[in-house]
Amino acid sequence: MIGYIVDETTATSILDGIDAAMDTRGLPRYWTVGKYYIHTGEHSGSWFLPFDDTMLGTDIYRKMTPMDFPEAVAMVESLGGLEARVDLDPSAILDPSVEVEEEVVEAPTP
Amino acid sequence: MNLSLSFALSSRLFGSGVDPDAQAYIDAVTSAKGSSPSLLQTVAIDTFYKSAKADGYYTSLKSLYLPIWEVAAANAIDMITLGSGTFVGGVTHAAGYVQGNGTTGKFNMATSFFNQGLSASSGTMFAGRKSVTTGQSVIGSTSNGRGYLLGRTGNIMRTEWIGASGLKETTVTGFDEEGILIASRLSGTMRYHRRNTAGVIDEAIAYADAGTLTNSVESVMNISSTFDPSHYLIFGSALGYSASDIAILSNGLKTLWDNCTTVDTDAAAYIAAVESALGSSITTTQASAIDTFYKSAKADGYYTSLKRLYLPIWASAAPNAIDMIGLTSGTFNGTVTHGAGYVQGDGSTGYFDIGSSMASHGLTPASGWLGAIMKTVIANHQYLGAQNGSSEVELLRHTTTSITTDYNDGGSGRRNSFIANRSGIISASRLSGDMKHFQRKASGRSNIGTFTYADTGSMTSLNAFALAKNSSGVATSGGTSEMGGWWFGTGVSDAADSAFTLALKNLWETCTGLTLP
Repeated sequence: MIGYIVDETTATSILDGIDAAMDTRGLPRYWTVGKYYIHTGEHSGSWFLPFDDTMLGTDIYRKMTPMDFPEAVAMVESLGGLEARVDLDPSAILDPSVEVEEEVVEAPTP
Repeated sequence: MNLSLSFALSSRLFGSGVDPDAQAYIDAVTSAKGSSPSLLQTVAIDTFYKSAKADGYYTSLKSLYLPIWEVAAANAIDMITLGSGTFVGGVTHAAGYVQGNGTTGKFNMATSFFNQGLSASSGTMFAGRKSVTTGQSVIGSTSNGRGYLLGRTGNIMRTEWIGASGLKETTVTGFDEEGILIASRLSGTMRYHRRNTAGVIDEAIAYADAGTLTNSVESVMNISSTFDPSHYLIFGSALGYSASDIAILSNGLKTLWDNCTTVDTDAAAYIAAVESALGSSITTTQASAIDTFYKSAKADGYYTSLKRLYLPIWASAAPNAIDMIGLTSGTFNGTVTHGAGYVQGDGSTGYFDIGSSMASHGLTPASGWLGAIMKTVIANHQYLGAQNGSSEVELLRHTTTSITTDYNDGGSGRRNSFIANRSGIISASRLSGDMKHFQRKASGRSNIGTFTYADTGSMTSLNAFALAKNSSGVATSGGTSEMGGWWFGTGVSDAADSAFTLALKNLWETCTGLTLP
């Protein structure tokens, strides 16, 4: 998954900025990138902000994508630009302390 | 909304297909009110004009007033000529009707039956009334060469129309006066017609044509010194109609009034919210489907059980985040694809935070209802709910073999309904000690599992998530299944779930053009 590796302060600042962009327009907070703690791997202890092309191409409001909002452009620039994004293995944000439930497998009812 | 915006709205809604007379009337009402009719009222008006023309009775209509707009200037507009009549004296302009005060209030039409081309051999008077004071004047004039329609105490209707000896009076009995009343003179017959919730009744009385109508302005709610304080919904005049055309006319008038005045307010609010978030209008087909859905939900009794319902079909995050019940907005997080008719998480970061817990909406261990429209089903996917530890859990999910619920069972029993195909509308209702699983597919609906257990455990206070599970505040166990909607509420019966999922199927399919798996 594509996005930025940041510390918690930065992650919180980005999400607060997105909320503020909606608040100043009088809109409900209907969209955000979310922040995800990295549990394992070389970036363990940091936070992940997803900024992949699917997200950046999403219609979030009146045919506008996130990058149609100047606040989002400024955020991306503050994070080093689109070329600074990394590809993180999705398993890195899974909490290893949470036991994965074994699936109950039974033959489907005929 | 000004006229140019009104025109732009109608043009966007209907393309080039809007009836020009409907457009002219809508513009006139918009100008008189200072705001445009609602989307669904616009649809109803356009449909009326098109139907009246297709059914062949439009050319005989000479005047038609729809006094539902709460503004005298708009209520006075004739839908046929766009001329304006005049309200006189004490008249209340309420939502859906006008009402005279019984002493001075009346309406003078723009012209006379004579000038409209009505004659001894051909003429129609009609009015729709509610909250009727019986024995009152309805429509017409009292000059010597007159035509008018009267109610009479004891369910007696009476007309006087020009005939031999200056006028011809006829009466019919058994005509309760509430509903659409029509008196039509054609082919030597005065035909009486009434349509209301009790049904339709007709009666015809023959007499010879004679004389000429006097050219005098016709009134409504008043003839001579008699003033009628009943509610007037719609009224007008026309040339004479056959019995079959009268029936079509009365149905058309009723449908027009019904569809203009009984628009579901919650549907209208949701449509307005979606359009605002989209920045454009939805289609008339979608608007009608939404209105139908809300009306069905309320008529069938399950609306009050619904606490949150999302229809994320609009290919945009903002409208997709709107709750159809409370009009609140949840929050899409991470990477979510907003497709035409569905949303889809990425299996890692994408989820939807409803913004409140199920418990905060009145769900309890004994009563709960969770469901989703699963357009596609991929792998394991915990797609609706929240979990705090092992005992506080309200969760709907699928595995690769089952539809599964975890619902406040003290951690002692996950309930699995093993089925080969887990798509369609999936619902689970906890009520009266049972947890019932249902699946509605294109081919029909079935109860795929019933599980009986005691009420144990407690509700989590965590926000409910969709597309993934809220696990102690963190989105987990999401998937990439395509979801066309989701809801939760208090527990419902098998019958209520069936009625709801059928209505939801119709709503989703009509609005998206897609077919349920």
